[in-house]
Parts: sequence; C-alpha cells; structure tokens
Amino acid sequence: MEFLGFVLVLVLALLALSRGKRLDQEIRGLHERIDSLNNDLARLKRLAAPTPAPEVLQTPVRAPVSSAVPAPGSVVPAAPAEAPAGLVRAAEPVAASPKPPPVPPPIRTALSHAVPPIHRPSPAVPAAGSEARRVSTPAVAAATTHTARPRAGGEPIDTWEARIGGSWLNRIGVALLVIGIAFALGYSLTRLGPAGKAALATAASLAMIGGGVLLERRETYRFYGRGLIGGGWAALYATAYAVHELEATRVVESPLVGFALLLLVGVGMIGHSLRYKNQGLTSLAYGLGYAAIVLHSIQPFTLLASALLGFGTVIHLLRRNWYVMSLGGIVATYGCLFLWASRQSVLTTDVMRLGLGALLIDWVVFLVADFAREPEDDLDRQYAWGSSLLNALAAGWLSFTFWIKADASGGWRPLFAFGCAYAFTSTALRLMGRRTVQPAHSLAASLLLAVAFHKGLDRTRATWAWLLEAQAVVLVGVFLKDRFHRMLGCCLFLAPMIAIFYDQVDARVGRPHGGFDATRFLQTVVACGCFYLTFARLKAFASSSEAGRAEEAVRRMFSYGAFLLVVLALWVQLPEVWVAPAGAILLLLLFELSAARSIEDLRVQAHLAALFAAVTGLALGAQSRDLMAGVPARIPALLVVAAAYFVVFLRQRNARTLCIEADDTLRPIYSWVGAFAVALVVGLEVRPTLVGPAWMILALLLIEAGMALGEPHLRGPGYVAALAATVAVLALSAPSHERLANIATRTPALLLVAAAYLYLFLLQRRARADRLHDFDRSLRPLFSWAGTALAALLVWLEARPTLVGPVWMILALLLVEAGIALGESDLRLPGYVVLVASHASLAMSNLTATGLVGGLSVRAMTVTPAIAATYYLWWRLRSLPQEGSKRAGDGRDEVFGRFLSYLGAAMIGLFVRFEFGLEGAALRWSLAMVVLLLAGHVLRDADLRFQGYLVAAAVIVRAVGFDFRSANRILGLDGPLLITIVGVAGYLAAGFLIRMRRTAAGARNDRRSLEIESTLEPYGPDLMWLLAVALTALYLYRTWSGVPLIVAWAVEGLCAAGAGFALKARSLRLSGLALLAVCVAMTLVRAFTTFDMPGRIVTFLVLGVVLLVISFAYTRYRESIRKVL
Amino acid sequence: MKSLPRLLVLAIILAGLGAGAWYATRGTAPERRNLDALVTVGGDVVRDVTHPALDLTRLSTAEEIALGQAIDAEVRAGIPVGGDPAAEIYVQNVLRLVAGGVSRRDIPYAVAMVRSPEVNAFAVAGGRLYVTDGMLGFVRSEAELAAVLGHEIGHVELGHCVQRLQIEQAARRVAPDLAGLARLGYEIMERGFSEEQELAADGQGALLAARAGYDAWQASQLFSRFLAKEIAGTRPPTRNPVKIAVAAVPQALDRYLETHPPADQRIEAVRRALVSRGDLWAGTPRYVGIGNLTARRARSDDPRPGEWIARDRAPSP
Repeated sequence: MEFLGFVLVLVLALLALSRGKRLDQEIRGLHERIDSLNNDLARLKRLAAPTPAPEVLQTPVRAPVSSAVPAPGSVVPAAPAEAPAGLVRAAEPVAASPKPPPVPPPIRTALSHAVPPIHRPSPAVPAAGSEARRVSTPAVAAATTHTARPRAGGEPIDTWEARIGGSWLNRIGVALLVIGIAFALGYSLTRLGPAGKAALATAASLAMIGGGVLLERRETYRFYGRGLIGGGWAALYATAYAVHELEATRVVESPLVGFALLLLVGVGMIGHSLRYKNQGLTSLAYGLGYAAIVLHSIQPFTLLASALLGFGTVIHLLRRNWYVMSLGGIVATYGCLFLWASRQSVLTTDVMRLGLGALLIDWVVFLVADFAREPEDDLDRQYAWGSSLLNALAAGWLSFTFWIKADASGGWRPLFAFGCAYAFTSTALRLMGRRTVQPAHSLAASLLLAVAFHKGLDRTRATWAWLLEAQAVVLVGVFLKDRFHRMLGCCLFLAPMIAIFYDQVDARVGRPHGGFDATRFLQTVVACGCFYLTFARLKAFASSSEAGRAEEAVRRMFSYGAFLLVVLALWVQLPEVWVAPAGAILLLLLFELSAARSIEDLRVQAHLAALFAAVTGLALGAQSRDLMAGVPARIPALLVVAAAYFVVFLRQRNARTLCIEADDTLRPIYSWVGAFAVALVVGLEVRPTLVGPAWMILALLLIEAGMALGEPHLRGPGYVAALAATVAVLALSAPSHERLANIATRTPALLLVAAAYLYLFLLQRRARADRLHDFDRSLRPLFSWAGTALAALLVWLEARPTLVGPVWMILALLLVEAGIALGESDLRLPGYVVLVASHASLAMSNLTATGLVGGLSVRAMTVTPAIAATYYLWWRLRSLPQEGSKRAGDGRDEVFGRFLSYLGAAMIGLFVRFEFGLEGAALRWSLAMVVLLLAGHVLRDADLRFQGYLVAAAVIVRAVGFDFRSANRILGLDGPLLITIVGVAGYLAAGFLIRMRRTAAGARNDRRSLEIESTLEPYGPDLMWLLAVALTALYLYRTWSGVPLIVAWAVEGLCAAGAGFALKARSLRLSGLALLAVCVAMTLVRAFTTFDMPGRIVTFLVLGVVLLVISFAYTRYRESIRKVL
Repeated sequence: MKSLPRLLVLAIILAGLGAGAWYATRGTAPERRNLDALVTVGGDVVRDVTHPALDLTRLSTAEEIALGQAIDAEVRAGIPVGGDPAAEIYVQNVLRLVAGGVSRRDIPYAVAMVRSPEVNAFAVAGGRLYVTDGMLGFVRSEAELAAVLGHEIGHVELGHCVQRLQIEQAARRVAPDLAGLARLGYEIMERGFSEEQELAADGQGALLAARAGYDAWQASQLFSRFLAKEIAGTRPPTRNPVKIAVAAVPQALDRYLETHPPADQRIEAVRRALVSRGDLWAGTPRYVGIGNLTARRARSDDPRPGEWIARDRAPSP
C-alpha cells in the first residue's frame, strides 16, 4: 500500500515537473525572444538605408525571407517550396518600408502557434521543437503566415516531435527509473542486508544524479538531464531517510546521525537544485523528499524533516519568488503534521505539546514569507494570498484538532489565539505596506475568531460576539476606507444573522403559538441596529464602478436583512394572532419612513411587510381561536391589518408619498387586500346565513367611499364584495332553515341584499358623471337584475306556492311603474321578466290549486288579479309613447306590451279552463271571440283582433272535440244546442264586426298593426260565416243521422244560401249550395243503399221538385239577383 | 289614462293581488309546483284534435256489447274473478240502483268481484264492471260504493271504453277479428283511461249516485282518503328552484302517462258536477248506508232510517 502511495506521489511529482518544465521553457523562450528582438532591431537599423527595389523584385521566391531577415551567417531553414506568389508581394512593402512597426507583437502571440517560428541557426541544434529560438517581426510574420501550416492536430510536426521526444519520453523514463529503484529496494528487503540495500539505493541515486548532471550540460538533453537530477536527489533523500527509519535498510541507529544525514542530503538537494534555477526541478526534488519521509512510520523525526523541507521552500520563495513551490510546501508540511497526528492513537499532553510545537514552528516558518517581500505580478500575488490564507487555516484547523483530543471543550483556545495573532499580523502587515497578504490575514483572523466564538461560547453569546466582530470589521473598513474589510465585515454579519434566524425558527418550532423572549428580542434589535447602521455607513462608499455597485448591492441587502430579522422576530415573539397586526404596524412604519426619506429599499420592504401581514393574517390570524376580553382576538387582529392596508392605500393618493414605480401598480392591491381582510373577518365570525348581508354592507361602504373619493380601486372591491354577498346569500342563506326571533333568517338576509342592490342602482343614478367609469355604468343594470332576482327568490322560498304568483306580480307592477316613472329601462326589464315568471308560477301552482277559502276559489282569487295586472300593464305600455320623451319606452317595451295582450288572453283561457272545466268552453270562447274582435276594433289594436281569429278557430275545434260530446244542460237548455246557437251567433257577429271595420273610415289607422291580421282581415267575414255554417253542420251531424240529418243539412244549406244573398256574402251562398249538393248526393246514395222502393221514389220526387223550384226561382229572379249581387 | 284614475286602477289591482295573496296563505290545498296545468291543456288539445275521428267511427250499441262480452272473457282468463257470493250480490244490487239513472239504457250493466287486495275498480265496453275486494274494503259506506260504481258506469256512458277501439274496429271492418280486438280492449283496460276521462267519469259517477238516491258528496270523502294516502306516500315538496326546474319535465312526463289525476282534482270534479246539478241533492234526504255496507245488504233490500242525510248546500271542502 505504501509502495503504491509512493508511486502515486512520484507520478504527481512528474506532473508537477512537467508543468515546471513548461514554465521554464516559456521563460527561456522569452529570453530568446528578447535577444531576437534586439537582433531584429539592430538589423532594421541597418536596413534603414534604402534598398534598391529591383534587387527585391529579382529575388527568388525564398529571397524575401532572407533579404527581409538578413542574419549574417545564418542558415535559413527551408521554407515551403510552394510558397504562393503573394508571399513575394507581401514582402515588397517590407522592403520599401523604411521603418518597421515600433511595437513588437505581444509575447503570448509570439509564443503561440499562429506565428510559426523562424529558427535562428544554432551550431549544434537543428531547428526543431521548442528549443529553437524564435525570430519574429511583423513583416516576417506577415510574410510567413502561410508558410507553416499546422497539421490536422493544429500544431506543426516539429512541435509534436519536440514535445514527445524532448519532454514526455524524459518524464516517463525518469519515472520508470525511480520506480525501478523502488522495486529494487523492495526486492532487497528479502535478499540484501540493510547495508546492501542502502548501498544499492545510494549508488543508483548517485548514478542518476551524475548522469543527469552530464546530460544537463548539453542543450539537447538539458531537460532529460534535469529530470535525472531531480529523480536522483529524490532517491538519495529517500535512501537517507530509509537508512534510519526503515528497519530493512537501517544502518544508522542514532536519530541524530540519521537526522544529520537527512539534513545533509536535503541541504545538498536544495543547494544543487538552486544551481539550475528551475522551480519545476526543485519542486520535484522537494516533492519526493516529502513523500519519502511519510512513506513509513511517521515519527517526531518526520515532523522535523518536514519542517526543514518547508523552510527550504520558503528560502526558495524568498530568493526566487517561487510561490507555487511555497504553496506546495505548506500543503506538504501541514500534511505531514496531519498524518502524524492522525497516527497518534492516544494524544497525551506531551504529544499534544510536541504537535503544537511543530505546528507553531511550521506556522512561523511560513509566516515569515508573508513579511519577507511583496509579490510583483498578479499571479504571484494570488499565490501569496492563497499561501498566507492556507497557512492560517491549516494552522488553525490542526491546532484545534490537536487541542480537542486532549481537551474537548478547549478547542477554541488555539483558534482564538491564532485569530488574535492574525489580527496582530494583519495590523503589522498594514503598517509595513504588505497589502497583498494583509487582507488574507484579516480574513484569517476573522474566520478563526468567528470559529473560536462558535466553539467557545454558547449560541447566544457567540451571536453577540459575531455581531461585535462583524461590526468591528466593518468599522475598520470604513475607518481605513478599505473595501475588502467592509465586505469582509458584511460577510461576517451572515453568521449572527443565520444564528438569529435559526434560533428564532427553532424557538418557533418549539413553541408553535409564539412567546416573548427578551434575550432574543434584544439580540434581534441589536442586530437590526447593526444592520441599519451598516446600511447607513456604507452609503458613503457607493460609486459607479463595478465594485462600488456591488458594495451598494451589499449595502442594500443589509436593510433587507434587518427587515427579515424584524419580521422573523415578530413571527417568533408574538402570539399567532398578533403577528399579522404587528406586520401591519411595521408596514405603516416602513411606509411612512420611506415616504419621508424617499428611501426606495424601505418602500420595497414596506410592500414586503404588507405581504407578510396578509399572509400571516390568513395563515395564523384567521386560524386562531384566542380570545381577548371574551371576543375572538382575530377580529381586531384582522381589522388592524385591513386598516393598515386602507391607510397605505389612502396615503398613496398623495403623489408625494410615492417612492418607487411599483407603487402605482401595487396601490390597488392594498384596497383589495384590505377589503378581503374585512370580508374574511365577517366570513369567519358571522353566522353563515348572515355572511351575505354582512358582505353586502361592506360592499356598500366600499362603493360609497369609492364614489365619494372618486376611487375606482375602492369601488372594484366593493363590486366583488357585492358579488360574493350574492353568492353567499344563495349558497348559505337561501337553503338555510335557520330561524332568528321566530323569523326565517334568510328573509332579512335576502331582503337586505336585494335592498342594497336597489340602493346601489339608485346611488349610481345620483352620482356625479365624472366619478363613474364605463365599468361602473356597465354594472348598473346588473344591480337592478340582482336585486329583483333576490327579492323574487325570497318570495319563492318563503311563500306558499300559490302566493308566489301574486306577490311576484306586485313586484313586477312596482318595478315597471318605477321604471316608467324614473325613465329607467333597467327597472322595467326586470319587471317584465318577473311578470312572466309570475305567470309561470301561476301556471305551475295556482291553476291546479283546488282549495276554497270562504267559499271562494283560491285559483280565482289569485289568478284574476294577476290577469288584471297584466292587462293594466298592457294598457300602460300601450300608452307609453304618448307620454313625455323621458318616460317613453323603447322597442322592447313595445314588443313586451304587445306580448302582454297574448299572455293575458292565454292566462284567461287557462284560468277559465281550470276554474270552470271543459264543459261549455266553446260557449265561453264564442263570447270571448266577439269581445276580442270588438275590443280590437274599438281600440284599434290588431293583436286583439288576431286573438279573436285564434279563438274563433278554437271554438269550433273545442265544440266538436268536447262540447258536442260531453256538454250537459246549460241554463236548462241542451248544452250542444246552446253552444251551437251561441257559436253561430258569435261567428255571425264577428263577421259583421269585421265587415263593419273594413268599411269604416280610417280603419287602417291602427295603433298597433299586425301583418298576419292585415292579411286575414279581407277574408274575415267570409271566414267567420263559413265557420258558422260548419259549426251548425257539425252539430247536426253530431245530433242526428240518416234522413233527418240530410234534411237538416238541406235546410241549413238553404238558409245559408239565402243569407248569402241577403248579406251579399258569397261565402255563405257557396257554402249553402255546397251543403245542398252534399244533401243531394247523400240522398241519392241512401236511396240506393237503404231506402225501400217507396222511399226511393219519394226521395227522388222531392229532390226533383226542390231542384225545379230552385231553377225556376233563379230563372225568374235572375235579373233581380244580379242587381242584388 | 290620466294619472289619478290610473293610480286608482293600480291601487285596486294591487289590492286585488294583495287580497289574492292573503287568500292563498289561507288555502289548505297541497303545495304543488309542477307542469300539471300545461300537461292537462296539452291533453285537451290532443283530445280535441283526435275526437272528430271518433265521431266518424262511431260503434253501435250492439257492436259495443258484443265487444264487451269478448273482453270480459279475456278478463276472466287473465285475473281471478269471483269470490264472496254475498258481496257480489250486494254490489250487484247497488249497481242496479245506480244504473237506474243512465242515459244509455240499452247497455246491460253487470258487475263482478275480483279477488285482489288492490283498491281498484274498472269497466270495459258493453257495461261490464269489476270491483276488487280491496276496494270493497276501502269504501266506508254504500254511498261511496255507489260513487265508485257510478264512476265506472260513467266511463261506459261517456264512451271512454270504446273510444280507443273505434278506429281499430273501423279498420277491421274489412277483415273482422273479434278475438284480436278483445285482446286489445283488455290491454287498453289494463292501461286505464286518461286523466280527463277519469275526471269526467268522477263527475258522471257522482251524478249517477245522486240520481240513485245516494249522498253523492260521500264521493268527496272517498277521494279525501285517497288524498291522505297520496300525501302520506309522497315526500315533502322542495322549494329549491334548481331542483324543481330539474324535476319539472320528468314529473310532467310521468304526469302525462298517469291514468288517475290527483285526488284533490277528483274532489273538485265531483264538487263541480254536483254544484252544477244541485237539483239532484239539495234539500232532499240522501242515503249514506254505512250499516248496509257492513251488513252487505243494499239499500233496496234493507233501507235504514238512520242512514239518511239532507244537505242544503255543498259541504265545505
């Protein structure tokens, strides 16, 4: 296992070596480039004298390079033979230009492969690999841009060859060699004695070193040789370590001698590596050295060795600025210490002292580097900064680890000590002007002290200490005008903030209902004070730079942090029900403060406080069952929240209170949430059946206030509250059978909401036009509809079914009358709908109601007034156009008015049908027909007349369908006969009425005309008289049969024909003749089928006589008849 | 219309509506919200349209009697006819009294008992009546039984029993099939009559009972017990407008398919018929016959002095 670790370390070391080698190559390349530039400068100076152009033009293809870069004695490497012609042309300006560009290309560009190198001749080294020195000028670069194209891999072939041959093979070889040695040592464990093993290892190590030295002197094998040197020294160091530490190779028993030997080898290694000024090589040596001393059992001796190595790296840092190696030294040295400590099963006081001593030594060794010098470039500064911080953290961590193994509760002491030490060193460095590592020391001091506080104090005290520390650091940064310290202090504030936050949340979890804690409260107050103090202090350092903006952002975060703590404290410290009111008060404070000082962040926090109040009100306050003086505490709590919202909403009416752009956007939310909070209180506390009325009252208040203030954002919630009230009334009150004071609760509930709607409707009527928006106006009709619907619903729910129709009719009358009086179609239209609904209710309940009260039919007592009301409204709407323009109805009123006449007639028909039964219906309808036609004539109303036509058709249908079959005696007379007489009389009267109307002057001047009636009217008299003939014929058919029927029909036909002549009614004449024709036909049929011979004879004789008489009469009075017709 | 007269008219109408509403609050009729009125009117229209066809296909009395005999055979094959002979004789005697006032005297009326606990009675063409044991147990006086029998006679008198068979019979004149027609008649009997026919038969039955010397108002007592039975069997009406609207159409369909109208409407039909013919009962003692019913001895066999009742006006509902 250890062997594998060793191999791993070797590989890592090789990688580090390769990295170091690359850096070395780059440095060397830079030197070479400087030389090259100097040469170029000299050459260009020589070229300052004019060069004949023809000479350039006659130069062969490759000539431009050689002529442009004349290097005496140099051998220009072969350029591509296929160099394009452009190359020549590109060279021309160079030749003609007296001066090259004064600024050489950047170093990185020169090192990159974009500009292929032109190799300067070297006596022994062919132009290959990175070893070649590069010459590059802008002109040459331009001329050779296309000459050395990279291969598919993106790099020239020679570079690959150099990298593989000169670098990788080298590393692999060294690694193999070292591993071989290691294997050999392992083999020797079983074969050779300690001395043999040590001798073998020493010989191999020295051989490697010797070979490396020899090879390093030759330019070609320089890196190869250095690799061997590094590996040799590592092997030798390991051997020196092994001869004392490893049992198998132990030849030196004395620790002192062993240490001296190890020290000797180490010094030799370091000294030798310094000779080559190569950080990579030296790092390899050191790395292998560290690996060697930890491979086996780690003893105090190991700590000493690692300290020495660490000191070595510091020496190199001081002499060569090898910060990378120093950083590695810190890691390795403290790593050794850690490994030593982890191997200690029992850490006694002595052992602890030993470890702490070693730790102190290591720390001091590396601390020296911080004071020694100020790094020069950025990379070094970064390494220096990192090394310094790493030294601090490693020392602190290890010291803590050591200490707690002996004293579990005392681990904070070394941390505190180191923290104080770093605070001191930070101050010292500041005074010395070491500005690179000084922030690292400050950071280390802050962190170590913070951790010490955490480990040494309980949470409360630690929080205080953190607060103090953070504030102190911030103030230091403010005092020194040092951004790092200010930001460091700000970061340190995170610790107390998180602690307080955690503490509060933890307390809240432990006490779900909250509870006041003075310590936490004080802590929160102090923290908030610190935060706001910092928030104010840092304002002076705001700037437009990127860092300044970042600092400004951090500064602003502090105000939010303070806000968060306050909110948290409220949540934790207060009983649940009071959290939301406290948030509301915080909202008011922040709002007013932000308004007074125009601090945008505070305004944002005010909005956040509003959100907090709303959420906690909903989540905590609304759920609370606490009582306060016998009253549910959530009532005042939520009302306070609502009040705060409304106050902020109203305060923002003043434009000066607006602070941020979002104020305008958020403002409506305040009124909505305020209204919602009040509605929530009502919903929670009021019994369900009364929630709707209570919400309606809220709606009224909001809308009233909105009207008075011209605030649509108050009216909007008001409208929604009204809608919610309606829904609540429908969902909660209406289905309820609850009773209060012997009254159904839903009665006042529905009444109140309905009345409120009526009030809203009228409110908008008297409101100033400029206070209303289109939206308000668009809602207005809904108010009248909603109020009407609720009132109607109340009646439906509370009244007996037979009561609903009359009461709805009263409502309809009032609405329509009010609508007419006020010129409000939005009252009339609901009235119309209620009227229709009233009729529907009458049809559903009253028409089939069978009860008698005091000998009077309930049906009659309820339906007849409704019919009267219907006709009253019909009359009322009919006269509307004659009234003033304000009250005049529109088209809908006219249409509904006409509809009412049909509705009234239908209801009369239904009422009569159910009140008096079917018997004698045709008789009643006959009278109704005449009345309707007469009324239509008198009132010049086509609708009434058209209804007369309809009834006329119904009379004969009903008479045939029922009355002729079922009617009993009426007024002592045979029912069917009476019905026929009255029907015929009615038809005749109707015919005369229609004829009279047609001939009367101005008959067409109807107040209400109807197209279908106009079409029927010319045929009206004939139609009526035909119906009379038909009714009589049907009665006769129903009453008699056989011969009597034929005779009767014949008589009827004669009468009809005669009447036709008398009345000049062609229809009567034709119908009479038709009847006579039917009688003749029936007689003939009967004569042949039924009669015996005498009967037949009589029949034929009578018929013949009759026909002759008729013929004679016609001939005799033909001229008279013509005159009559 | 001028304002003052108009306001006066309006006030009168409002007062009338108010009075109607007050009346409605005092009514004791069952609360009802349904489409019965529309269903009834629809039935009127259908009947008005179809009745002319019945007039054109009238059957002679002889044809109706023959048809009735065939249907009676079908009935006896389908249900258990016969039973307590004393009860059957008793019912026959009452029938003889009631049938004394019929207008179609050429119809030979006869009644048979059916062994069934169901409260029912029915008639077929040709004057054949059937009364169940349940019905005989349900009536409380001979006058009520007379009203029941009068009701069934009314179906025959008014031609209800043959109306549905008329068109069928006219179609089969070409190919007579009396057995098939009898089966049809039996099926029609099972389906019952329309509501309007039932109401007409109620009125007719009451008048027949009155003509026979019975207290026809006892029919109202009978239907009142039907009403109580109906109310006991139904749930309290809901006032939820949504539920009412949802249930209105299915209820209307049920109502259309029902044969017997609600009992309160039947009471009203009886009242209307009797009020229109006050000469049949007003001021004249009429027989009730509670004891006769118990003893199964008809009034004609055992007139009892204590069973008479005289009325000057219609009893309050």
